[in-house]
Amino acid sequence: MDPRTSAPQIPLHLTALAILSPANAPLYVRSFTGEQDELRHYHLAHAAVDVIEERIVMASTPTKPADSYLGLLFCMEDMAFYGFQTASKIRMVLSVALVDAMIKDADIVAIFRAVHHLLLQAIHNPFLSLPPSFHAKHAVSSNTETEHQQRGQNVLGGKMFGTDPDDIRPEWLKGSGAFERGISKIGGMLNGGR
Amino acid sequence: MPRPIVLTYTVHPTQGPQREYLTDALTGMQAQLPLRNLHWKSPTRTALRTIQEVDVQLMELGEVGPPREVGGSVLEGALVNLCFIACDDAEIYKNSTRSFIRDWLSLLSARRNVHAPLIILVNPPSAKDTGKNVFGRDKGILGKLKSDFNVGKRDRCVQINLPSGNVADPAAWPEVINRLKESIVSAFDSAILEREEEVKRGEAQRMTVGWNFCTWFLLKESLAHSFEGVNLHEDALIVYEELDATFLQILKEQNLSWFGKLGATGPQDDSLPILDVRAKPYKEMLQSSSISIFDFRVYVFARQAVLLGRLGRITEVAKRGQWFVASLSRRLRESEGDLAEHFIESWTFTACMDIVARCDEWSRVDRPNGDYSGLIAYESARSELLDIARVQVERIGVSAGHLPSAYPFLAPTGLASQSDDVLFESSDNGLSDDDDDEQTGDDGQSDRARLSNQQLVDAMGDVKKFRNLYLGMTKKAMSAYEACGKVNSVVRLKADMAALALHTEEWRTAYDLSRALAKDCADLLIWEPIAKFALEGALQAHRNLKLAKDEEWANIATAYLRVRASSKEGVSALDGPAGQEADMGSEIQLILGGLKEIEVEHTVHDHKLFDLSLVSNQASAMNKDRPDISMISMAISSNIDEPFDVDDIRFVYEHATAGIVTYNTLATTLFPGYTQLDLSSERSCEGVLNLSEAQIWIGQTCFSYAHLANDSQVIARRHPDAPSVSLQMPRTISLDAEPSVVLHISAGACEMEHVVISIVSLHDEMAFDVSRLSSSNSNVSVSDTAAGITSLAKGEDVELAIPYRGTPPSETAHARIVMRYKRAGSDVSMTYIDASSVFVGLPLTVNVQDFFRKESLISHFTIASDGREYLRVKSVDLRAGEDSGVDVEQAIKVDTSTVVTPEQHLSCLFKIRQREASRSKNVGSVLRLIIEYCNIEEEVEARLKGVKAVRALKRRNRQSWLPMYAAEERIEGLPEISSAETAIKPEALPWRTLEIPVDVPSRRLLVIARLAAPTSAASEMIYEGRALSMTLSFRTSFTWAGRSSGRQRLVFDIVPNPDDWIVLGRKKGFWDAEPEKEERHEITLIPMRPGPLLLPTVTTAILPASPSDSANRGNDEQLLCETYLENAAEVVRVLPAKKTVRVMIPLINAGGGMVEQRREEWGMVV
Repeated sequence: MDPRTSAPQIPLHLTALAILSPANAPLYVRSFTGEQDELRHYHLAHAAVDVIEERIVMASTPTKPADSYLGLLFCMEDMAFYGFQTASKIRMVLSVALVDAMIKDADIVAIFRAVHHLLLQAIHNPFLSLPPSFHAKHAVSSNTETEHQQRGQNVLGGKMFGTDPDDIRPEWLKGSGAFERGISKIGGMLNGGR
Repeated sequence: MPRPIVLTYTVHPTQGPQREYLTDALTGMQAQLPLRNLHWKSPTRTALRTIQEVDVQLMELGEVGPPREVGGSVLEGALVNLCFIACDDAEIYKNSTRSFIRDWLSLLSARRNVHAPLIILVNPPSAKDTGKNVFGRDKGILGKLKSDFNVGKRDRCVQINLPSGNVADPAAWPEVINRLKESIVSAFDSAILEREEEVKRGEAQRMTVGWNFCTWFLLKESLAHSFEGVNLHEDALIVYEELDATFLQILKEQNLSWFGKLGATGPQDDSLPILDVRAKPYKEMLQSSSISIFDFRVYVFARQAVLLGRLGRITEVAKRGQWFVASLSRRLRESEGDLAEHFIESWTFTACMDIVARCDEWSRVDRPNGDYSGLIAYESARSELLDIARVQVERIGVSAGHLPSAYPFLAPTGLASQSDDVLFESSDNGLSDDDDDEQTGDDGQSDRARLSNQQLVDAMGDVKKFRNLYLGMTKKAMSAYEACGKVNSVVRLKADMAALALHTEEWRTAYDLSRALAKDCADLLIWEPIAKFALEGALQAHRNLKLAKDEEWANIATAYLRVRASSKEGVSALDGPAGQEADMGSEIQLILGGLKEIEVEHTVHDHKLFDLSLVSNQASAMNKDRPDISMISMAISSNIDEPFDVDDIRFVYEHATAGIVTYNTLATTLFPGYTQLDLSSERSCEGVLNLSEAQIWIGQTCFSYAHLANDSQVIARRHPDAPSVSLQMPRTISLDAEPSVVLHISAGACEMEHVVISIVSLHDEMAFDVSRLSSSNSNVSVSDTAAGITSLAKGEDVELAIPYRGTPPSETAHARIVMRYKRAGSDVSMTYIDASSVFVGLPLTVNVQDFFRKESLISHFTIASDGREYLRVKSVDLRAGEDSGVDVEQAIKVDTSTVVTPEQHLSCLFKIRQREASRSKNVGSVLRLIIEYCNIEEEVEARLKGVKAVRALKRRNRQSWLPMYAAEERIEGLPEISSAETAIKPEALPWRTLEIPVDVPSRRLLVIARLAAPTSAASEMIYEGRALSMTLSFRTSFTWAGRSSGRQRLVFDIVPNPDDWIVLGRKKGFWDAEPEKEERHEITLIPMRPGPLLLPTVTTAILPASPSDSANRGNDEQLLCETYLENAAEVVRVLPAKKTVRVMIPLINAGGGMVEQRREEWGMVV
């Protein structure tokens, strides 16, 4: 993507993406500029939560809740931070390298929607919520007696297929190939036209 | 502040008495200023603009020159020209005043300035009201003025009647002032319109060659100045926003030929306050088109900020400032090579601090409408600005070497190095990619310009100053963040503070800060790499402070281990090269070593360091040699990359009867990853164990887990060779002895010493009396509550008979048995706990039926199952003691093949004879019925011998195999049972003996009745319904009465079956019984049906003695009467009754012959 051919569009450059649970615990942190920046980006994304909450309180009225897209949160260290909150209160913070031009909100919203879509697809995997102790059993067992006993075991915790937003585990996203690939693709597409 | 609106005035006449009035009028007007509430309805704007207040300066016409420049504000020229005239005479007006005004107007129009003239006629206080004429027109001079000078509908003339007292009296001025306001607004409106037209024209030429942005900018900016001049800040702001947008638009279109350079190379550029529009001669630079982009943008932003500040929109200033600073610094970075070293950082720092300083100032200013609502939001934006400034200091510090180039001070990479969207290729020079230079403080750039921000320059030179600055900034930002509750944002600053303290080796501070940070990380669910950093810092500081390892240290240490464990595979920026990794390893070893040293007991729940799981949910014996030690196999995953020692691993289980059962292992070394371990328990129990806690001990620190990854239940089974204790019924049960149970202790394959056994009943209704237990073994000692056995050899069995009181519900006794012992040659105390139950009832029922005969007593015993059990009966014996005086003969012999089932009982007959010698004294002699039997189930178990087979059998429904085994001695699916090896060997079966005491009946008066037909001729026919005379004879025997003689009055009663017999006449009777004396009674019976009829039953009873006969009473009461019919087995054959037959008999003889025939016939019928 050559910026000059598609002028006057300003190419966006994603620097980091952070997905946080409703309790603001990190679910996924991805730095597009290299792993050494991950911590810094996480710090800033986490700080953005403050602004998100501030924004939600200010923007929402009892009759009309705040929009999902929370707009530009702040600019720091040559990056602009944008916030998004899904209906289930999962927060996403996206940082874009600053350019000396206006960045269209619609572009940012489109990125958020894409990430949200990936996230939904990733957490829809019903096998994710199985406990680690759950192992596949042979369908045909030579010893019918033991098989019977094993079938009687119940899954610990009883949270089978529980997918509250608070139940989402960071491993689900890290472990999901489709999700990782999707995020990399978004990052690659929006790497400032290099 | 903007200059006030300039109004000119001219007075006429300048001499004479009227001059005084005019001066008064001027003074009065001055007093009405400034003007308030001007309403401007512009045709180009939708809404009505209200100018709240505008400052007005009245000047003599001559003092005001023509407008100096093109791009000035429309307010620079006089908007309204006033002409004060005093004239009360029409003649004078006609002669001089009118011409004066005409001259004045022509003078004004010569100035080419948009203006509005206003002629004010000043009437002295004494003048009478001129009023209006009949046409509504003004009379007098005013009327003349209006008719002369009004153009179109615009009224340029107004009069003022000077008040007699205070000339400034506001009540006198409204008309004039209103007319003045109208004039100002209309002049302003037309001026703005004209200017806007000009701007539009200029913008339309944008694409033409030679168009100068600066000139146009100045033109358009003049609008803004104009609006500002009348305090219309919003409109002014809009102008600047439009200008900014146009600038960016032009920027995009690359139409920037009129900008020579990016700028920002001035000596003071990095330290000049950006919000000061007078910091540089911006206007002149614009006018000469020599302004640089940097200056231009700073200027535009500063103007906007100033306007926003006036409007009280400080938050917006701060927010826009953020964006502005960031985006401009982004632009600057493109040509960083041209700038002074750290220029961007310095400038950003200055700009942020300046914005904050100015905004703080503005936030303190009273708001025009009392609206302070945005201040909280401002606090938030302010904190961000401070943080941005702080980050600049940090970057400078990193590059100056005052701060380490590592987390959290490491500057982000990748961003600075990219050069997308470069506009200024001329200024780029390929030097934009000097991110590395910045960090290393490249000396090659020494010829660059120098920074001018003294604060930063000092800081760069001096570590101490730098630290003070950095700490000061950080604290400032922190307090700003905290003031607006941004707890998440503070974390980063706290991390920085802690890192700085660690870097400067201020251990005490570092320790406190790191601890606080770690706590925040836990509270705010912060990413683990950060928590790891904090904890590492805290540990390092702790070590350097040489503090005692207390509970707090343990908390930090375990938290660190937790983080380490969970971030095992996670990539983090902290995990550096291999050397660092080794440091981590030693860190862990230090921690683990410390945990061992610590003396405070400390429990950590569900620590991520370990994952525990059970390999099997069956607890089994350790090995063949130690069958009494129960063991579970568990797996532990250590989530740390270092091997380390644990002191103990304990699984604490709860058991229904055994209580707490603990499985543990000795100190062991855990290697990274999965380790399988066996835990053993000295407590032996059987059944389901529920995990209550799993513990791993390192020193005094306990890692506790309430759940395992898989099962929390374990099923414990004992090894067959393990010692066992079971509760059994005694082999020999005597119904007349005290009830007792037998505790069967089997040593199995263990050699046991110091065995102590206690047994407690689990029922309230039943109690064991351990103190009175008995045993055949001499090693057994007894205390009040427990039995002790000195030693038990391998394979030795001991049985303890324990008497009990009471009856348990449903005849099943439940007891908790605890056996403590030591194995020979070992000090380890082992405990065996079990709940055992035994059915204390009898599996069989015995009924006896006695038949008394004169010489003997026949006892018929019926042995039946209790409805459930199958029993093999070996022998049934009725034994009489030597001195009992009776002899017993058994009629039916029982052998071992006899099986009693619920369906089939066993009958035994015994004949008991009294010996002649003891006939008189045998009263109350006791016989014992001894039954030797064996429960079929026990028999099968004994035959099978293998525990496994028995268990398999026990799982089967007993009804499925018991009846078959009882009948055929084989069990389907168990071929072993019929093999020769396990064939029934009677001596090997677990025979049980039941002894039942049987009393020989005494005090029985035996009455032998006999019912006989009087005639012994059997040939006589007995017919249904024909009365039968019988003799009932009684003989009495005192053989079983315990005395040989005596008189007893008895009654008898014939109780026939009413279907069979009717007693005719006497049914009951009495007689005095005497031994060997026969008593006869005649009775008459009528058989009621044909066929063989049994004789009716005869009962006898002792006639109660008459009250007078009290002497014998005590003795007789106990005497019972046993009656039997001697010939009860006899049958009376009854023939059917003959029917009536009508027979015709010829009368041979007259009279007598006929009668004879009849009688015979009748007699036959009856």
